[in-house]
Amino acid sequence: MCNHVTSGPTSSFLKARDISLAGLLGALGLVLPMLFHLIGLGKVFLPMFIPILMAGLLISPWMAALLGIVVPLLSALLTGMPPLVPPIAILMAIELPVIAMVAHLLYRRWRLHIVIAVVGALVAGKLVTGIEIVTIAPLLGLQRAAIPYLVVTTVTSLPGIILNIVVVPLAVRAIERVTLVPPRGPSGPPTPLSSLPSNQENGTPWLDC
Amino acid sequence: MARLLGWASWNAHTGDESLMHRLDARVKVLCAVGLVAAVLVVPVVSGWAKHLVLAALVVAVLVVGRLPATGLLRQLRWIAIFCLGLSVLLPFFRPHSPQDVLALPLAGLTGSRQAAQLILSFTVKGTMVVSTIFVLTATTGLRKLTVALSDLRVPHCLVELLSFIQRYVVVLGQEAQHMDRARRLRGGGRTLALRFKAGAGLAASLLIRTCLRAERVAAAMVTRGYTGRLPRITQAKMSVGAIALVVSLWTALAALVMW
Repeated sequence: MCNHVTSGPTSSFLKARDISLAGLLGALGLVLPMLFHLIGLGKVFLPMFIPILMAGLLISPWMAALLGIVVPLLSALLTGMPPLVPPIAILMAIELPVIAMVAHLLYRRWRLHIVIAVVGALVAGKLVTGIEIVTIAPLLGLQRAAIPYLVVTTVTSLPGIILNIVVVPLAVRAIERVTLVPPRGPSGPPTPLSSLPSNQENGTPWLDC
Repeated sequence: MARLLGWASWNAHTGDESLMHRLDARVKVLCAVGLVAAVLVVPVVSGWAKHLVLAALVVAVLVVGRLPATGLLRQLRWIAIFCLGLSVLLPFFRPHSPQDVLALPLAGLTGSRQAAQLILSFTVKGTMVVSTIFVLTATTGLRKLTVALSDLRVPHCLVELLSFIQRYVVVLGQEAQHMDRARRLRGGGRTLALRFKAGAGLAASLLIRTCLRAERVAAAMVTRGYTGRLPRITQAKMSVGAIALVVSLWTALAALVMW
């Protein structure tokens, strides 16, 4: 017989849920680019951005940022893409945490619409990439190639940006409907137990055994 | 999916037990860090002799590890694609000065010597770094690697995240296999549009199902007393021989870099 827990999540549960969801999204961040690269669409559709953006919108900002650092580096170590030399993986490990943090800030703290949060995060990511390229290109002796590179990467990644804007809000809304992701609001003390629907009310199976 | 996971070398190639497979994972991590640092620090053009020594070391490790060459070649192809792409663009890199002009053996084109050296550097360093990391991941496996990192005092949140990622790749694979089997048993899709629709639905429900599973895992963790930190699995202390191996390799690499 399954005993349903009728109280909301506790602080320990939120911590556990954060690390557990982060692990899941991290795994997606490794598997999705592999699938896209298998059909030669990895660079166009920015598949690694999807789970990191979702992490920014769903879990705590620091865990999402850590995920943004870990995923490109781990992917580089395990699959060789994005490459560590030239340092594309390192550039992404700086860009992705910013995207996750900005998405969290816009959606959870400032309570903006999810599509605006995603667009804002992607714009912030592009700005960070621009700063990185302009800073690093002279060190590599490629100062004249910096601006054309930026323009080319932005144009080629437009389908990916559109895919992110379409897929991420839909996926996040779907996850919010079926799981116990806390309601939007400033992060701080854990959500009061009484403010969350009980398991029996909304039928979420989070403690089904 | 299984091929995909094999490609990512999640599990060590346990079929071939070599010296590299038996070596303590912590020793492998420390040696790999030293080797990668040395490769990145030494310049390719002016330090080509040093790179020959480093390359010999990497090849020796690959041979001792008795790993399949196909796995390494799959990882190296990304570097090859990137460097080939840059090489094609070489005529567009204008030289800074007359000394920087490089005559290309193609229809009288010229390029930048500095840019060519940069591409060479990317190729050489990238190949050696990827080969070293391939040996580390393929002979150790991510599970042992996370335990080794935990033992080497890497921050616990990072180690926990790595172990969860490793677990969820397996979970995702299993869920995807179950759902794909169910889809095929129901007849799948005859036309491309139907198959695409079924695939999109499958991906969406895979995401939701794995999220629900993630919450069940979190609930199970809390039930088992999780308070924000997983219990650390401590290994036995490193043997004197292992420490000596790491110290001697690091000393040799430092000497090579400073030579």
